[in-house]
Amino acid sequence: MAERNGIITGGKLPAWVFVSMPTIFILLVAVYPFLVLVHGNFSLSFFSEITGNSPTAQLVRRGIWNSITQGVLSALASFVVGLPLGIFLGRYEFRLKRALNSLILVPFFLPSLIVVFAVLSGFGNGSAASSILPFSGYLSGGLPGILVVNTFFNAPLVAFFTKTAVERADVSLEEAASTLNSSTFRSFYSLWGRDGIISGLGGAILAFIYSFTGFAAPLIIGGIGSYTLDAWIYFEYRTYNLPAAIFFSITEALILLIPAAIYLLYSSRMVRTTSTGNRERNGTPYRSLFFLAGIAYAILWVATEVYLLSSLIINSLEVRGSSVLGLDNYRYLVSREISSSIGISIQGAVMNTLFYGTVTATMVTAIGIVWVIGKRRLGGGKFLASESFQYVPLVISAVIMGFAILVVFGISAPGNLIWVLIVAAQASVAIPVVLRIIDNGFATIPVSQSEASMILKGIPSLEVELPLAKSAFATSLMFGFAISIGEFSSTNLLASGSFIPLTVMLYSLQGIRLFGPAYAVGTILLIISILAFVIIQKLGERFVAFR
Amino acid sequence: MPFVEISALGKSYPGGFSLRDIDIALERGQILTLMGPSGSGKTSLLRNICGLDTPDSGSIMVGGTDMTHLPVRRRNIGMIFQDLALFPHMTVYDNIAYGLRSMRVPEREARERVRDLSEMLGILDLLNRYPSRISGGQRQRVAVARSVAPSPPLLLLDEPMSSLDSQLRENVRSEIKSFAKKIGLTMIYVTHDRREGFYMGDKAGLMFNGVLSTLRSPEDIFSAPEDEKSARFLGYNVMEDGGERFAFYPTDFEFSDAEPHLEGTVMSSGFEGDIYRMHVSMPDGNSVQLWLPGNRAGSVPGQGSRVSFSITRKERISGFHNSKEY
Repeated sequence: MAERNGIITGGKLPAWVFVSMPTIFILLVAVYPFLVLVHGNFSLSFFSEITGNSPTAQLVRRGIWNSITQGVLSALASFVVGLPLGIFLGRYEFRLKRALNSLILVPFFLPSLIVVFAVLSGFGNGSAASSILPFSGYLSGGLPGILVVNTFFNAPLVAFFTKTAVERADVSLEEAASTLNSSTFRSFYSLWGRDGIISGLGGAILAFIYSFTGFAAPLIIGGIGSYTLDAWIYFEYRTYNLPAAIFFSITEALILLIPAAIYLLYSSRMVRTTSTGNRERNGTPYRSLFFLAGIAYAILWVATEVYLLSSLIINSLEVRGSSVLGLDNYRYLVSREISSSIGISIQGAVMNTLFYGTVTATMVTAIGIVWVIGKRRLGGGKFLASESFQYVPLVISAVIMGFAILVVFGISAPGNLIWVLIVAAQASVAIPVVLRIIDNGFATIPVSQSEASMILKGIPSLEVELPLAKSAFATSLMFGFAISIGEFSSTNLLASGSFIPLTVMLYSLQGIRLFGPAYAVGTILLIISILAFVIIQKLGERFVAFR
Repeated sequence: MPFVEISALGKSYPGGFSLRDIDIALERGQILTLMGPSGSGKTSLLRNICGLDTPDSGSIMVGGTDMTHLPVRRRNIGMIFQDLALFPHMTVYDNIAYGLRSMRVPEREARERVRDLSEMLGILDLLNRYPSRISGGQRQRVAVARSVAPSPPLLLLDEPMSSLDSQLRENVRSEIKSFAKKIGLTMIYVTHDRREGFYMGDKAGLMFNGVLSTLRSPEDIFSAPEDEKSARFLGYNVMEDGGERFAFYPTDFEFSDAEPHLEGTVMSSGFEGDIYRMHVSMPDGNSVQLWLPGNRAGSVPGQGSRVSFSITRKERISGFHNSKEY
């Protein structure tokens, strides 16, 4: 079969199936259940609950305002903090760069609840920071606290996106500009930093979406008055007002679609300055002001990170009513008491967390690889419509998505298969990010290398593309794992009893004011996240080829 | 029956470009060079032959087997890409052995084959290195060895030397030709460099806008261009005289005032080692190139000089062979 005038007939059918995999998955897991829920439950009458003067309307508007404020300010702060980190890491080569890069990225790989507890430990009452710098207590509550949490969580994402783009900037373009008397700043914003800034903006859009839809984090650190629209949707759902929950989730999706659509449209039209050659930049100017400022800034970031995370660990070791450190909180976690109050043992929650993370990361990475290979076989062009569709799970309220999955599939699924629904929900949230990472990783592999492998009767995907994109492969596994263990809203809704993972256990413990054990669970989650991060990075390094 | 026989091959691509009525007949061990400007369809034709693209019409027979609809993996046609496409994560040895391993050739046999080829191509001491650690010419030889290792009946080369400097290019093309002749390899060699194309080919063809001219010997093609596009590509000047289009090669002239003669103004001139090249602006607004062989320091008309010359050998443009419409 053949390709005629751009119309693909049978010969490329498998590639089209591959390309459609994420769309099919999202349709099945996110869109179809959502539409089923909307059908019969949607009513425009709730519009008055946004525009009216009733007390409920005022509460709804406050939720929307909180979401917008937290989203916009967090995105701005994440961009401002993360961009310099990304530029520094992308621009310079130096010893220990990989280690520094990994350390900077760590917060994004942590569940947001850990970040909340780390900030509470690091800046809250009685913390080392508050005794030295009294104003730092201001950062552990209210809107500032929410911004610190969201920025600490999302700035690494902005840095990661920026760094990847800056690394790929074409050295020869910069050299050409310097021969045309371009200033350092002009070369930066018009050439080598341009793609980094735009990619960083992509990270900021994600920061906006994650912060806008924040649920547990703003409530814990900001107090009850900081509830977001997502929290309000959860409230409506818990009070059995499903039509209202659905109406507000559609409202949320519409608000989130605006920045997502603007960014997608803009980035799809952007002409990149990506390098096509293999020229390397001249040696790093270790004594330049920019380099020294960059390294100082990066060290400040890592120092803050280490301080906050170690505060969490120390808090988990604090014995209530005593100044000595001990393992009381951990002893409580392994006691029988925990099972009766939360519904699962700590060992069970750890196993669940590892299981969901591993299955989700593997599944999403596999979908991403199948998709990108199909895309390459079809000529590697832009599939804007289907690629835009991959962002749908980001704009559907996770609370509603979890509930929709439960309603549509949960009724027919046997009780012991609830884990399938949890993994499906987590995977659909991970797809937008993981697929972008895989796409970027594969974009640097010349198509001719895959074709050469085909001509030589090899298996290009396994022998050429995956080994060459090993770093993207490992990174996508990391992101998949991180998003799985960090996803809270739909997991909280779906998981109960023996299916509860650590994040839900952590939220439940703080809900019943058992803060010490909650810090201990946070520490266990922290250790799991960092171990997974290190193991997957090592896996990526060793990955050579399947044959 | 020819060893390679491509008949009436056609293929349409999105955007309007198409390959039309391509006919190729090639005997075993022959080298065919396809020449033409960028975008003329040379690479597309190779992609159809090796199976990366599938033709809409026509047939491809190699060694008596109909390959037209065989998938790329079952054709066993070798191809060297413009960027060589060496696998950067594999050593030179692994690159060369890649195709053999794909064919499940026992490792001992594969090792012998790799060693034999490497020895013939002078890259035996590079087997443990990675492609990024060897020179451009060495990479070229590795690409040849990798493509030839599975013993393809036909090897396609898509401008493989475009990234090499001229000196190295001459050496490598000589090595490839000598190697191909030594092992009796049938090749289709694509280039936009006519000198390289003539040197490499037993037969040659010119491509313009997806159409391939009649295949002839390089000497025939050069001495009697089929049409104006071919003539211009081959370096001829094309002019009109008394309603008749004709071509003349830049060396086929002499300075002369005797009638009939042509006059023009030298726009630029320079020494290129074996010739002086002059660009002469003619009264009708066109320009022609004139080449003076040898070293004539001081005696070549400089910029702005008026020159009179007569053409010593003309080729009529229309009516040659069976010209096609490009």
